[in-house]
Amino acid sequence: MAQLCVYLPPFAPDYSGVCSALFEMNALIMIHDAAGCTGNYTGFDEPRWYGSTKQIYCSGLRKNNAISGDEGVFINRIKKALNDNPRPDFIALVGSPVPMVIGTDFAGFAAEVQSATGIQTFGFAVDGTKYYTDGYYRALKALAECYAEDCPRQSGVVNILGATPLDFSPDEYERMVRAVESGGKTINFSMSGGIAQIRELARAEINLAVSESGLLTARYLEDKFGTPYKAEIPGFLFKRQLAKTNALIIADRVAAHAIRDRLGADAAIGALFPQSAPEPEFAEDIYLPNEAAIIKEVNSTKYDTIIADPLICGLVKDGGKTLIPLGHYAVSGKQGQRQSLALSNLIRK
Amino acid sequence: MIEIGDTDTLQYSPPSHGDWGIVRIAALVPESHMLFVCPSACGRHGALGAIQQGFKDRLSYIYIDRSDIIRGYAETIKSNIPLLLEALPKRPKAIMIYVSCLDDLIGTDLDSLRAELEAEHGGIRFRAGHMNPISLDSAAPPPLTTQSAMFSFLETTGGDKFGINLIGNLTPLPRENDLLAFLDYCGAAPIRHMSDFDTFEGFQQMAKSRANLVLSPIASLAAREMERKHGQPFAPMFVSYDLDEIAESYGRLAEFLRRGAGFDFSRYKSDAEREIKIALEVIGDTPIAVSGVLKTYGLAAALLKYGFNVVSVMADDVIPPDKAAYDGLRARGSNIRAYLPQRPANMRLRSECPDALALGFEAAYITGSRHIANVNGDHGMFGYDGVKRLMRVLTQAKSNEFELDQLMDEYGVVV
Repeated sequence: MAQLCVYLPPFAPDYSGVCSALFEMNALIMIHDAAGCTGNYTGFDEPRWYGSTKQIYCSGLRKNNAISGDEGVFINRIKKALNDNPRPDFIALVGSPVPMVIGTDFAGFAAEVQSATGIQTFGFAVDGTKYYTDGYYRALKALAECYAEDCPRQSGVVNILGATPLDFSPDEYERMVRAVESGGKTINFSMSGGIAQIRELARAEINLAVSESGLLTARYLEDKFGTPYKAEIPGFLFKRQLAKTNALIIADRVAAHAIRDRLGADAAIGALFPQSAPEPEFAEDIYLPNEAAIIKEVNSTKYDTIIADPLICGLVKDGGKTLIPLGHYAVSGKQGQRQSLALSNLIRK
Repeated sequence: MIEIGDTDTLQYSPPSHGDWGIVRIAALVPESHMLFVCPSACGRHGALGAIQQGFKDRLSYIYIDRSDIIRGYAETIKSNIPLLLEALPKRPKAIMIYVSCLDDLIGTDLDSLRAELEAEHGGIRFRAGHMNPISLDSAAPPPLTTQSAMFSFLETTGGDKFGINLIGNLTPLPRENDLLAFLDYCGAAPIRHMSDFDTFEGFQQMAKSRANLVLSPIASLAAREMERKHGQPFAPMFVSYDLDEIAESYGRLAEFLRRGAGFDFSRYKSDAEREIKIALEVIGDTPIAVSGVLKTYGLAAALLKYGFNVVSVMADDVIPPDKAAYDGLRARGSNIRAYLPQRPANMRLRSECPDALALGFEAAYITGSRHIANVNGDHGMFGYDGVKRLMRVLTQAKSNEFELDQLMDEYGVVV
């Protein structure tokens, strides 16, 4: 359903979620687009890109390619890129709006690439109409289906699911890892995991879903391996005390709940992304599917305090409300980080 | 030996890749608003770039999904325009409705839509824009069609034509530029540029000019259309940093205008030559990597001619106005290395030559140098004054260090 959006930028899309999930792995990632989708991801959704030698490419899709549907052009380009660079563990073909319109069969495309290169290949039929949370989930699910082994659960081992720079800065992530490790746990898979850690996903005694992306993935792993999960951010500490306040928190759902738990005050949760899992504690979250819903909610007289990305705080018309800007990379990118209370202030040091 | 090599490859997108982007360019139309109709993903870079540069209030979005694409979204656009107008603090005089790559394949009838919208919303001019890099290899890629759409807002006007438009340059030339002095000498004033106008009505004065000087090929399509629509002949006057080419282009301009043959350029030329000499003394044999300008090979050839030690050129393509310089460098067996920044192998070239003097962001990123001359986009550059300014930028870059990511943020690089 079409939606008018006048003030806010579009949030990080599904293809950014796929790429962000796979970034640290030894992969060749081809975003199947003309230029702009790749530019969206590398320029605005991936702070690790500057100085990186990760093999993330644009396919260079042009109108003639789209009309002819000849995927051989891209298979040849992939083969040339493989000649120029170290051999990856796998290849990922990531969709965008044009392949969606022409009905690209990503499973078939991936099979052809795999046949031509001898390298495990995944096709992700994302199309730029959904959010990064969906892309992260699809990426981890595909890898788990291919590689994860049904190994015995091991006490003290955890996976951290949903940790990407779209929700956490590298520095914040490091602190999160330290918090887990200082609790005597061993981390199997996290932001920096590779194929070896994917193989052993089932070894974890529990999965920690640190974001909405992680929740979707944790739910899938519970179904597949029976691994229980918790939605929490290890070491999370909200330092602000807002006595006698009626706050609205709009953030990644897991972060939003963690903030409310530590606020010491009543607070409503505004969720930007569709609910991913049937956690009862999320049942009362207010789903804000578009800009109009966000504007209406942040300007409701029910709230005297708004905790949200600085761009969302900017939608509040009542100057009497307390605004606590909380940069969310998937919303405002590096601009939001500059204008806000970084999440690093909230994670226990 | 210059060898571009295979261009049929996957494309690496270095962080230094990009420029102003069509969103910022289209925002130059005064009192206009842009409405992007596309999957939400397509708008993220434009919106965040606009926030960074402080003009997000000039663009809005209608996010479409699969069902909208299947049904077609012309009706959706029509039904959302009143909501947009209600949300905007001021009624725009012009609205550009931008569609994305996918519309090249489904073919929304944007001409009919435009006519319907203009009939329904009196006083607002509507134009279609195409944010469609899928057509980058065509005769009408997005930078050209954007300039075309921008200048198509000019209404035909009666009366005598007077004055000259400068088009294609995104920022105005400095007052002391020799082109402005020459045009003034020729009696061609007023000289009009988009940035002169704060109002849509004022912008219409560009339709009254008697000719267009095209300072960048991105305005070539617009110039041809303005010739047909307004009877404005045009002359390509693309930015060059070669003193001989500059002299030649002024000769052609004098012929085009049928005036100005007696204009004395010697002061401007000697100023440029003096700055070249100063820059040479400061820079000496420092290796130079060139990128970021329209005619990258042309700039490299000019610098070589002046005695600088150019070692590499980084450009995605050899564009037609730069072909002669490229061929010339090849013919003379130059040892300059040519890089296509987007080639997959180039991602591992980081810090290739950190002691270099890097012209443009691509060169700075690939060489790893902090001696960065911000020449991207040829902003404010033309003629002898352009050479003078270039030399000052080079001298400054040699003597100072800059943070590339900060420069790119300030510039607002968008793919």
